[in-house]
Amino acid sequence: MLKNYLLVAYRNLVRNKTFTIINIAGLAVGVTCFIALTLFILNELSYDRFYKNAGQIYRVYVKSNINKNESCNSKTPGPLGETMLQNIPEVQTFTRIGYFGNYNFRYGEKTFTENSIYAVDSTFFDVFSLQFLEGNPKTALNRPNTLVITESSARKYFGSVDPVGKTLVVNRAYPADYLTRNGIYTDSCKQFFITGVIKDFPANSHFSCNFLTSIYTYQINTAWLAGAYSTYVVLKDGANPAAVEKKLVNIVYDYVGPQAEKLFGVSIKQILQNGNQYSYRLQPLTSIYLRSIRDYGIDLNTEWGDIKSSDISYIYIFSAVAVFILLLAVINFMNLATARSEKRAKEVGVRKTLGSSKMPLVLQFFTEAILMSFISVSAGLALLEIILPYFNGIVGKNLHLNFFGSFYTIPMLILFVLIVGIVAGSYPAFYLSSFKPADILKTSSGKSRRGKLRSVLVITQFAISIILLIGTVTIKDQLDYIQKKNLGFDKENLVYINNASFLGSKIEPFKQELLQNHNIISASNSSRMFVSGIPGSGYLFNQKTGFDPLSIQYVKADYDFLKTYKIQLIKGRFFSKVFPSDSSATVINEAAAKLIGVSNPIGSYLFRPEGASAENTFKIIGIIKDFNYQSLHKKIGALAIHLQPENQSSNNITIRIRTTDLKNTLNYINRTWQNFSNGERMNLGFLDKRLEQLYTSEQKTSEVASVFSVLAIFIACLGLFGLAAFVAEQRTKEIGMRKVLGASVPELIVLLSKEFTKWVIIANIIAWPVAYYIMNNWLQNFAYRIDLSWWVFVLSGTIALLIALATVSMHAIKAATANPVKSLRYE
Amino acid sequence: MIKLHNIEKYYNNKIIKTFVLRNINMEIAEGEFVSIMGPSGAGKTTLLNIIGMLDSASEGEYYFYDEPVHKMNEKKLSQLHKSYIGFVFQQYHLIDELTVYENLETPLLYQKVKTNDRKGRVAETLDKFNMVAKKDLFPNQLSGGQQQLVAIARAIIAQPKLILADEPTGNLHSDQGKEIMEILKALNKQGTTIVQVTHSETNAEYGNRIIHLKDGWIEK
Repeated sequence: MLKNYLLVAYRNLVRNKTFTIINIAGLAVGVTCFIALTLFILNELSYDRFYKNAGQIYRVYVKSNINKNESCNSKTPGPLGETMLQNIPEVQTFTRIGYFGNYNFRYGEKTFTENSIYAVDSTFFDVFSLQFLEGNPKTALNRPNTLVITESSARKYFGSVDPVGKTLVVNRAYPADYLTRNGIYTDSCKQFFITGVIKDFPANSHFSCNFLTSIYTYQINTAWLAGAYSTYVVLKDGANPAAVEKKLVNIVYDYVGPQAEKLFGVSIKQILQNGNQYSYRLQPLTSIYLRSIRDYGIDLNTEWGDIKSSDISYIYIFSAVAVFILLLAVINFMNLATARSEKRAKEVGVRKTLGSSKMPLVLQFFTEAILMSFISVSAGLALLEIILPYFNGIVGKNLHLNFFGSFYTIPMLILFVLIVGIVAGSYPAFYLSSFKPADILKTSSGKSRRGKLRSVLVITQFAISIILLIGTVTIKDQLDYIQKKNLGFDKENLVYINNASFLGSKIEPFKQELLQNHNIISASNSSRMFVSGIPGSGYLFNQKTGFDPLSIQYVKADYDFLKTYKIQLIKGRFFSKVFPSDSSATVINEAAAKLIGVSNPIGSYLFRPEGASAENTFKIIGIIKDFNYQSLHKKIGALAIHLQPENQSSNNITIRIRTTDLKNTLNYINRTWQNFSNGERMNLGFLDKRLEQLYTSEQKTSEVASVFSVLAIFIACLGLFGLAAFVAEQRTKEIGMRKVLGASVPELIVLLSKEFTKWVIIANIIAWPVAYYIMNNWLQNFAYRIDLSWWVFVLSGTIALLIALATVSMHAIKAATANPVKSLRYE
Repeated sequence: MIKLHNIEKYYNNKIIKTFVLRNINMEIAEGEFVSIMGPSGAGKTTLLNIIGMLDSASEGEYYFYDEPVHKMNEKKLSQLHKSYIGFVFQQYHLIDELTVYENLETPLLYQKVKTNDRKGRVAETLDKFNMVAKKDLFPNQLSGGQQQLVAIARAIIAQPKLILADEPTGNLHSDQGKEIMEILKALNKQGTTIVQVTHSETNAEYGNRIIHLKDGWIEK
């Protein structure tokens, strides 16, 4: 019996090539998209879950709300972990992670600049179960200057030699004074002893680095009000994190309290009375990658540079897209099946007269659908192999489908084939098999069965396509807006060097040398901007103590900063060599002036409470126009600029150039660099390119959305094409008759396209509000965003309509121009 | 074998009832060859479909071998008709996607006849109808007469007690028609009960009884 079904199914496939190709192509493309997106989503969801006891690991963060200034900081004080371990019985172990800048490591002849070095407790490997290739995880990091390196770093320095027991020497590329001043360089860190090699961090770990050193290599920062480390704790099996959070309240009172009182002159009780809040919270490890921002409100600025972060909303978007695309393809299948129902109805009738009851027929149609699904999924998997590299390129991952990688893969694929087949086949199976033979067999050509369902299906398809189109256009529009937005400075013709600290005290001569070239307009040395991690601090305005600090971010910049970036000065003046006292002056932005709230803050003082030495007292000398010093996801915050000392280079030099003779100008910069830096390589880039990188995840989404909306429309049109072909064929006789009665070709085309047009218009009406809701939500991710404009909707709707019409009219024209004599003689 | 008692068939079109069959009372005994005649729209095919259990009567009682068909559920009906009844249609109604051989095989598949037995019966039938050479052809590769031959072969392969033929020669020219009628007659001689619907007096003569239908009534 099964053989009989398969035979009929197979012959049906072969005999109706157009339908078969449309069905299989549509379904295969749908399956490919679905699997690719599923791989992506599974990968995103797998972050950090591979760590042993991942469910018991938490990161501690600081949630504070002081004077209505809310913030969630992922950095915690140095003594917190140890204090928790001693005071809270649920805590099993903990580790801190700290970062102390980049190094130049040398082994033999090989020297590299390394900036992915983190200092951790010896218990790090108890928390994060990483695989050791060499060395003992228990003891590897229990002494200062020990170093555990990853496999790929080991290969870089040592090739095939066993690195354990070897020493990496710190090259003195940094001037000693710079390092000492920044607390990085102590005599103790001239060299590192390698005690272990671990496998590289898996790509789906939110935290990864190339080197781990003992936290005791550096002096531990014991201040309770400083956020110098991130702290991860492992709770005992079955421990309730909420209970631990309750116990953390006491730690705030007992440990933070005394230090706060000393600093602000008020007791912690008083501080926390007026609706203020300061608490330590726990964030599950598995939530860090996807939910940090959305669910925990963690300020990304406080994360380490090597922390990977995404957003759960992309998972939602991509899941929806995956399901939609598959749905589109399945709908095609159902649609074409209904279109051909008349043909199949006869077979149903005959089979019933031959003794078939309903069930075998249901089974027969399911067999056919599953066969089709099997072919499509196979084709889809083949297609996946081809497109996966491109898809990986877009999403920046290394996804691949490993059939034997997991016990579940092949059963899941079989299940997938069955589900797709059953869903796609359900309609024909139950609808067709219910026909009464007496009704079907009565006349040779039955009345046309126009299912209402068919129109519903087509409308659904187009609604989905239109939503995707609107989404694509909106994302593109927003990205375009970002590109063109006035950032408050001129981002064109700026190049930057981001490893300039090698210049040390030679920064000023370097700048002067650069300016000798007439194509170089100006150069400025400043702290890095446009990165997440611009530091902020509580500043007190015109008072040295108090508990109402203003939260202001700060950067350092030299005298030429304003000129180089072309930022407008509003009031007062910028730093000038004429005033030596400017080293303790500050220039603030408009937002900061507004936050301070005084009509003319110039001449007043800002105090940074930490330590309150002379260096932490700043006189306000000027106000500059707001400029976007971080990505457009964030509103421009209050910013204070301090003077970058002329004789020490920060990492970042920005150079304004003329574009004439660009190549020679860049060569000149490079030559000059070589003269000053002892052969160290220069990291140079264009600032506008760097700014674009701030939006890579949006760029990715945009590309994914464009590709998939094009595919969605393709699949929908494929279905429409088949349907139109069928309708035209079905109505050949009617068209012939109308022609004989005097209908013109255009009239006939209108007649044939009318129904489809109606469907697409209804699809628009459904799609618009849905798309509006979704895209409005997405735009909330940006502090600076476009308004959703009506033309995007009209444009997307029109595009969908035109494509649909073009598809349909191909058949309509063919049918309308056919010779009526032929079509009428037929039958 | 067949007893129809006060069979009525009508369609409810909004308020108006459209009658197709009125007050049909008839009996057909085993071994009869009955011809149903009458003008277009008289209800011949409907009557045949009701006898064949493809359609149900609106009112009245239908006994097949004294079993009340009008009270049966679909499963039972399907069971009954696949073991007792074979159909032949004017439009042949072969399954286009199956070859002659496979078309013949299909009713046996539905009756779950064992593979060897099935092969034997299909071969025997092919032989009987002189179609061995054509067994791998598809219906559209055959002439109308040949297709109808296959349809008859398919109808009798399951050895039904009753063959219902709806204008079996309607689409055929007279020579082919004659051949088909001869086959039906031969089958009847071997004991198969046959009910046919026909327009042709000549064909009706092959039977041993003629029932005239007009506007849904049996004419006396």
